[in-house]
Amino acid sequence: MAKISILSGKGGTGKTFVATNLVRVLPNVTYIDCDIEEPNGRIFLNPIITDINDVYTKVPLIDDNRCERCGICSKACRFGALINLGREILILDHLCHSCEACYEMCPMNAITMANRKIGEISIGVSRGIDFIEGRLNPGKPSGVPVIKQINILIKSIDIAIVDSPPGTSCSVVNTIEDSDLCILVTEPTPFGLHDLKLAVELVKEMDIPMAVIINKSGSDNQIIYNYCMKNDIKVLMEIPYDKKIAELYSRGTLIAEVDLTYEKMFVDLAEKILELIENEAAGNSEW
Amino acid sequence: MRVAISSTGTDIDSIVDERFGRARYFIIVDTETGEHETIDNEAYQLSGGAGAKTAQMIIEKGSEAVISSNIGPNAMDVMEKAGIKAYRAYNMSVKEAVDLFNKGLLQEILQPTSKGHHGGI
Repeated sequence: MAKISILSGKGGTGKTFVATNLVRVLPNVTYIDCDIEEPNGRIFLNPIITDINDVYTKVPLIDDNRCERCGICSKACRFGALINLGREILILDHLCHSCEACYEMCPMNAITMANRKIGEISIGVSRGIDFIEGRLNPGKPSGVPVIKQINILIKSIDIAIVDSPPGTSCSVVNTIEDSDLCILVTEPTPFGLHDLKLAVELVKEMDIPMAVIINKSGSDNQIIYNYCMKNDIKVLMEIPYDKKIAELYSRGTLIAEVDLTYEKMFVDLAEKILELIENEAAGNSEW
Repeated sequence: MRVAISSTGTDIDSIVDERFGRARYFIIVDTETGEHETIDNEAYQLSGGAGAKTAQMIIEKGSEAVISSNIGPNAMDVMEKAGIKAYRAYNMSVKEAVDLFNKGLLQEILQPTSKGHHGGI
């Protein structure tokens, strides 16, 4: 099993572009979209969905006959999800983080935890590529339960290419957990570098091998190279700032499928990645 | 009537805080006697649910109305259910806001004025 996570400091850097083109040139892979708030890998892969599994979390349910409106549950909640109105306890489901503090603290045993659907996981196939996508319903505070459920599925997958959420949130931490390699997509701008640094700190903290891809590469690449050199991080590829990429991308077309130069670029990338993982597994890591 | 006003400072001449859930202080004024007390809004730095938590505090303090510039959806939801009315004051002192309220010149807030804010989770 190999898990390769594609991440970036911020949205719109090119994670999905890299991930979807990469799965197209690798044999026997599964594309996994963990960008649960905005999963759009399916636009490029057009999978046939064969299975949809709901994801639930627990939210408090109050037995009005037992509840004495003491308000201890409301005080225990750090998220403002239970409000003591005096005559009743108001539950704001969408603020609940399922921590169960209310349930634990209720002296009357009036609270039970009930299932609420927060999202779903779609499973399918796209011309030989297995496809898994997590989706969080809008307004839910945390997508971590969706990602945790996907992580269970990943355990039985041969090669998983995981499209992470942007940034360095809890969702990202849970997405990249147990990865064999993290690929950080960045742009060669001061903003890009700033966000890259945050992502690198996170990946270092989690002790996962990593490499960088520069997207929309141009004259300022040196700021990324300088940083990567100082931190012993390999730069695997530069993707040029190319109008053709933008045009095809906006139409939902994978460039590796229609353009030989780019196909070759992604084949090279895939080889480098597999090599890096093998080296790491053999214990001779170079980064 | 007890009215809670979001405030940037601890005394009645402080400017009304434009935020509700993340207001640093609330000044609760008794409109009959003019007496007032200042409350630290402990919810102001919560990562989420600050509006709801603040509304809870206001309920506990026995307020029947609130004055602020902006009120988010969670706080609005709670106050509606608790029967607390909200009024809008902007760029004036707490004292001035109370005067206008007493004269019936403040506009009632009937819908959330902001989409609410989310902390990083």
